Amino acid sequence: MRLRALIDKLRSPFAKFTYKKVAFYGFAVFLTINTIFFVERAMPSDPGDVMVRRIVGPGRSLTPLIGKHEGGGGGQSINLSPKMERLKNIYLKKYGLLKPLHEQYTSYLERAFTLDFGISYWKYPVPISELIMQRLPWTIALLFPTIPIGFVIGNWIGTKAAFKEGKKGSIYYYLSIVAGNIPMYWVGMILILVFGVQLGLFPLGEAYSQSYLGPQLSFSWFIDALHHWVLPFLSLLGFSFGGWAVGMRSMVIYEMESDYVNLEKQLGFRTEKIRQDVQRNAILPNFTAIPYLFSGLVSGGLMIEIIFGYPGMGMLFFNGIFSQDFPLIEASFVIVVFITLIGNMIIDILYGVIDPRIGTGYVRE
Amino acid sequence: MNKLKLGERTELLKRNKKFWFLSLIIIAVVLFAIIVPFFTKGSLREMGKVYQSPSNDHPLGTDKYGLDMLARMAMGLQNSLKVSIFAALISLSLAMSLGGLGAYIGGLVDESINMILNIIIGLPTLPLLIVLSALLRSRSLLLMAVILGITNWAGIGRGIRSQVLSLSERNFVDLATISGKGNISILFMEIYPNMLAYIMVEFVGAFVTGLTAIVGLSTIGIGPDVVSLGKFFNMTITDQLITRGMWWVFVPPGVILTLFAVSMIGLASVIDEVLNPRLRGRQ
Repeated sequence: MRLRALIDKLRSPFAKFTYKKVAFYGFAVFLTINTIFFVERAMPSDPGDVMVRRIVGPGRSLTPLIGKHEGGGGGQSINLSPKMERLKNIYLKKYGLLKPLHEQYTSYLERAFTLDFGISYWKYPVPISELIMQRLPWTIALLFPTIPIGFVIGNWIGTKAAFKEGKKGSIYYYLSIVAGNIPMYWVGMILILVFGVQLGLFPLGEAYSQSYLGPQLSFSWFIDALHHWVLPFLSLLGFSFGGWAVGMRSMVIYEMESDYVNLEKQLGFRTEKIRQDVQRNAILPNFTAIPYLFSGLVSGGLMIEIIFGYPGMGMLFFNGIFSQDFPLIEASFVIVVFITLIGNMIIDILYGVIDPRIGTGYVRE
Repeated sequence: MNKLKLGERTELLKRNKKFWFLSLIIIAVVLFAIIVPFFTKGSLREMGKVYQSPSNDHPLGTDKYGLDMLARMAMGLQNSLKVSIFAALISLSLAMSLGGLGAYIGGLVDESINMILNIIIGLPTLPLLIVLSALLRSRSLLLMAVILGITNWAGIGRGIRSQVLSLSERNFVDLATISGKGNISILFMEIYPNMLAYIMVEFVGAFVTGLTAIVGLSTIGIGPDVVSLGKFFNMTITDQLITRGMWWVFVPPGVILTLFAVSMIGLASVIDEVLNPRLRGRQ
């Protein structure tokens, strides 16, 4: 009997909705992973050249090595001396780039799905997966709280902007436009300048004081980490609530003209009550904007980490770029995309829970 | 819906104070980017002391290379604007041709385009941009604009698609279909002119997103090869200028960037509000 109930549950419209969402995001992950594979191979940059260039030294043209000086523009076509050519081939072999494309492809997929990206060139003997495991929690701690908190503040300000007449309403509205469109990385810099350097209230960067050699399980360490977390978090918060507030305002205005509001007004409902009803109905359509918001936050979060020297995925990306550690860049990209898509998937499924019409297929997508 | 004629709409805009105020700011910023480099070409060759604080000679101080910040900033702004406006044009044409056409044709074409749009929208743009430009050998303004345009069109594509979907139910589209016009000509000659305000708002949005993204890329150090606003932020990070209190390198570029971005978005929302009947009742 219990099995029967379970089967029924698995066949309910909501379950079907969930499968559909999971399938969609699964396909999205697959597509992105493929894109990065083919983009990498279609791009003019050759990892072998990059490695050879690192040995020759940064910023120097490779052409003088074969005694033919072409002057300027060392970036175009590179003719290597036989020695360098051999070196390059060793690297290409090590990367597995000399194998036929389909073999490269299968091994790439294997690496992507097992999240085993090999060894980092930037921190030589450390496996990339270990680096990511160290960095990922920081990014999650930075990004995920911004969504619910931005949601609450954004709803509040957006409703105010729609309800308050005249000047006051516009002030709330322009506040949210400014908050949503000011570049986050610049906000971060200004916050460091004002609260860190001038006022000395918050640390200037990093995730915890240097006196702690690493993350510890103690109360004082936690407080210290929280103290370091405040400024980068605040830099992201503006974007999060600004976007919500603008969407919320226009949805509230839209809802204000609907029949039920007119009815409530005619029946003499209290403004407070009408506001509550409108607010509840206006929140729903905004949910569809969350994926957009969240991917914006992820992008902004990467920048914020770089500004603050916060040891998350963004910083890892940055390190990967500067040491031209291609596997590391690739891995960071895949992980960041994973986080974004998983976050979006959770939100999408939650949306089905909150609005039953979506889950039961009442509204066609 | 009570549709307004074009003349009435422009009249409404002309009477709007906010519209003029924001337009003035935008025009001022653009003029700054166009005109100042003409007069300061010479000072971009004179390398003085690095990171000098503002003085009579250098009203905004000097940067990492001892060059005048005011001149460099105007040049950087010009380059950043160039890239982002070109990128926005690319995104818009992609969105109009793919998203719009798909919506108008419908069926499987639309379904698959819509699915791809939804996937791209959920992807974080900056990491993709970082990977793409990290793989490039040389990063010209044009190339950066192309990359930016290609990664940035999905949001507009979805918006335009839903607008086209709702507009193609209208009578005038039926009329055009009966009179034997082709799909593409109906889309571009009948539907798009009727959603010009919407397209404009989307364009502004793409422009600002692109601007923030390109400056962000230069901040990480993989922006265009020439100077852009992000170069100053890059210096700020690599030389730790915030803790050294050298505000003149990163505060003015940020102020001008924010001023421009916020005014553009504000202008778009004013246009939207004035031309969108449902919101207009509240003025």
